[in-house]
Amino acid sequence: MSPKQTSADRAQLLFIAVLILGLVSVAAHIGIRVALARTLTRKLAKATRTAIEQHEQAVKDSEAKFQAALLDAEAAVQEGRAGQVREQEFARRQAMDPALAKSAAEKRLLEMATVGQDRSLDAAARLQKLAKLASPKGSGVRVTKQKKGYSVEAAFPLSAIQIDAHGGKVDTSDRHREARLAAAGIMRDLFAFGASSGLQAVEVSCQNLVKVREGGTAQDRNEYLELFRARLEPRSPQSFDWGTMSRTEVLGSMRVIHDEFGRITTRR
Amino acid sequence: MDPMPRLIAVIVATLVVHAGVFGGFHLSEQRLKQARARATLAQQGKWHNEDQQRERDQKQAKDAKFGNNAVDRVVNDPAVDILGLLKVLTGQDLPKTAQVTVGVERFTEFSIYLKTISALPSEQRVAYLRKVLSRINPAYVFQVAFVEDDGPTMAAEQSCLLQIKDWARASDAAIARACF
Repeated sequence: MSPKQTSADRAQLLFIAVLILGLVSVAAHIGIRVALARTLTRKLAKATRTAIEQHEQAVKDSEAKFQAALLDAEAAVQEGRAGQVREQEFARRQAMDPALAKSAAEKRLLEMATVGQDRSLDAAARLQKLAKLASPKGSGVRVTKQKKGYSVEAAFPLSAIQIDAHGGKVDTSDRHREARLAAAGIMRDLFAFGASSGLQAVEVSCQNLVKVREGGTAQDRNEYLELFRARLEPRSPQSFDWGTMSRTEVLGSMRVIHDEFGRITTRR
Repeated sequence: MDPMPRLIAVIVATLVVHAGVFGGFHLSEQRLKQARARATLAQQGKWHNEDQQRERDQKQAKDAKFGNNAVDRVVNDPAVDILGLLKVLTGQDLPKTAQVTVGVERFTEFSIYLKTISALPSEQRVAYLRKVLSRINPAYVFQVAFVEDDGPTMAAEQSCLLQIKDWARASDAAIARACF
């Protein structure tokens, strides 16, 4: 064979080898891709099956929960559970559950409960602090030692009471009512948190600031005119459950000493 | 004949076939994934609608266990607290243009304010009090105030409300006497 013929044969062989290699690589590529596609299909089918099973389980759980809720609802009606739950809620409210404290007044009551148990203060200081917390802003308070225990006197200005008439007109009757309720509230709160500190009596007055001009002078003088005064002096303050007592109950128990509103309130 | 061009042609052809195989399968996988995503989305939408319908049906069936009307259902449902109950009780069959507000102060003082343009006559006030207080423990209610728009307020306080022992059966006259 001539060297030229040998070289042509080699080239032919190389060509065939490259061709075979190319075909094999393509076949391998197709094989791998088919396997990957099958895996993907299986994976997607499995995900679909899993999702369906999860949904079916969720529906079953929901149905079981619903059946239990139905039985529970039936039992709740038969037992009158709604009434009992509300009684419990009211008891929690009377016990001043902090979780139910939303308004400023409720938070103030919780603060008073803390002060009432603060043994780092002596009884008089504790009552002084409680009286300040119980009374509206701008009030004057005085704690007096008695033969047995203490008495507290509080005087609040009429202007310190917020009257929300809910769109109606605020008249003297509303002011009278709110002043009485405010006085009852101060008494109730002081006994609720101060009875254990030896509190025996609470006297509350509502006053109105008036400008007085004396004859012969050109200057006005501020004076407080007392509009309402009431006193509460229970026989044994510690024996009462002040926590469950409402302001309207205190209204029925307090002794009204002076009521200027009665004279100026128009009859409806 | 020079073998190089043929070799190059084979190599190029092989690469082209590889690219075609890759592209074809990739496209097919993408289509498969998209079809699956669409099917999943459609299935989830269907399930969501079915879930919502089932929840509605279940709620309706559960509510029916508590009573035949809206008020009974709320009164008998232990999940409704005092304020929630009062809101429903006080909002039923209100006089036209009336507005009602319910609130709680000092933990236990639940107040109801019924505001009307003109003062309600006594019999309507009595009917309103009866409707509310016959379905709830009156000890929970601190006051029911009837507010006249830009006029005086008439409040029925707890001490008066508690004078009525049976709000469902008490006479109108007895209620009016105790409260107004």
